[in-house]
Amino acid sequence: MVRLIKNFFIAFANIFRKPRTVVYPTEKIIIPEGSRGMVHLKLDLDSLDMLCDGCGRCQKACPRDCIKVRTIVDEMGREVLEEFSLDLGSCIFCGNCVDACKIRAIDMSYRYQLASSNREGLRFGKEELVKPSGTLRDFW
Amino acid sequence: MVLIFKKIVYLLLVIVVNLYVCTYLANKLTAHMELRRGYRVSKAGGISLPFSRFFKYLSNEPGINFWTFMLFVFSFLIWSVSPLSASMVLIDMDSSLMVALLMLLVILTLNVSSHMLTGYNMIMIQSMRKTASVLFFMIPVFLNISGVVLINKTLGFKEIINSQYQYWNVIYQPLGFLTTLLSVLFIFKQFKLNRKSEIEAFSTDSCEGKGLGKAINRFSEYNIIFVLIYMLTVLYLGGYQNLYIVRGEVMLGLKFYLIFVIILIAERSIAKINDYKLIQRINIRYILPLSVVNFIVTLGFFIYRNIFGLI
Repeated sequence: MVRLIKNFFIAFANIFRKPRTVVYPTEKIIIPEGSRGMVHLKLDLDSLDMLCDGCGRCQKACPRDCIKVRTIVDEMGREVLEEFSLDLGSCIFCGNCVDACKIRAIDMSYRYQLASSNREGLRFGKEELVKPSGTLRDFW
Repeated sequence: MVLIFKKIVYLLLVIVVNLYVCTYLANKLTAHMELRRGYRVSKAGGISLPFSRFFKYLSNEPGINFWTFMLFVFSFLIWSVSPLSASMVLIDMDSSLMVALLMLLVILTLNVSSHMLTGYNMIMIQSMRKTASVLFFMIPVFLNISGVVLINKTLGFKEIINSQYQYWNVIYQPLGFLTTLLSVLFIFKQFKLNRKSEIEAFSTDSCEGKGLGKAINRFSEYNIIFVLIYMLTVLYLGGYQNLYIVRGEVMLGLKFYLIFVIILIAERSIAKINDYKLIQRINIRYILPLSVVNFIVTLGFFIYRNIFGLI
């Protein structure tokens, strides 16, 4: 009975409190720190080259098999990254690829607005994945 | 004739405005109690929500059967005997309380008619169960009303209101007021007028019906609650009695909305009570015995005062 009376006053007080929900497209909130958005390929800030060397650990770690990594051998005889593609239609944002990367060349950005009207729009190549939007905390 | 027509228009206007305000309040206040913003169909705080819901019903199926039409007629007729002020009553009669209660029962039973034609047994069973459950909660209401009638020795709304010129009946019968309020609260919960409230035993009941017939059904359910709150206001809180310079009609409105808001808040605070059997147990264990006690005490008081002349 005491609990019911307490609930009554909590519900009454809530009327005067600020609502916690927002009207999504018009109002914006800062998404929480550590949220997992789209995978982001990091750049070497000195040379502006991609850090990823195409070792393929992320591809093996991915439970949904949505990362494709392909390497080629250049003129110097080194193995370099040729293709890094991500299929967001399959990605479950588990973060295993980030944990698997030994040289920390991948991280999870805060990009959330990823909807697309077709399947092609959900496939990203390394050019899109390297865009620096993930280095700062995005807003919705 | 013109006067009667004016009264009818005034009455219809009051009912429609009341329906609009209560639908809006039920949406917005419930949302705020849950720290949500509530339904926003427009930028102006969702003020067009009741209209949008009404037009949504209309867009489906315009046809209604005879019994639904009768439900609609009775939902309006019930207000013809209920005075909104000293002069604002369509049919002035001595036993208006009795007539209002009978009409309430008619609306309650007609409410089932729309579900009787369904092809799904489960929906019919759930609808019948809901009506039976609501009727079960009407027993304490009837007992408490009998108590008020015994105290005031009249069956008319006007006489009951006039007899409270000095003290409201809630002072004489706090237990009766409390149990009636609880009964109305549980009836409100079972009608699922608040979209968020869900009783498992009646979950498929709301699936049946669409279009104008469904809108009338919902209107009648709202109307039952309105009439019960109106009765609570009139029988226990002095009805349209003036309070210093505040007019009686305003006072009636204020009391009505105060009780409505209290019911809304209380409904949210018992949100976890969503089991049909638990609700029935609450009625059997607490509400019904309390109302019986209230009735017996009132009856004893009545016998001592009027038959033996001891008080």
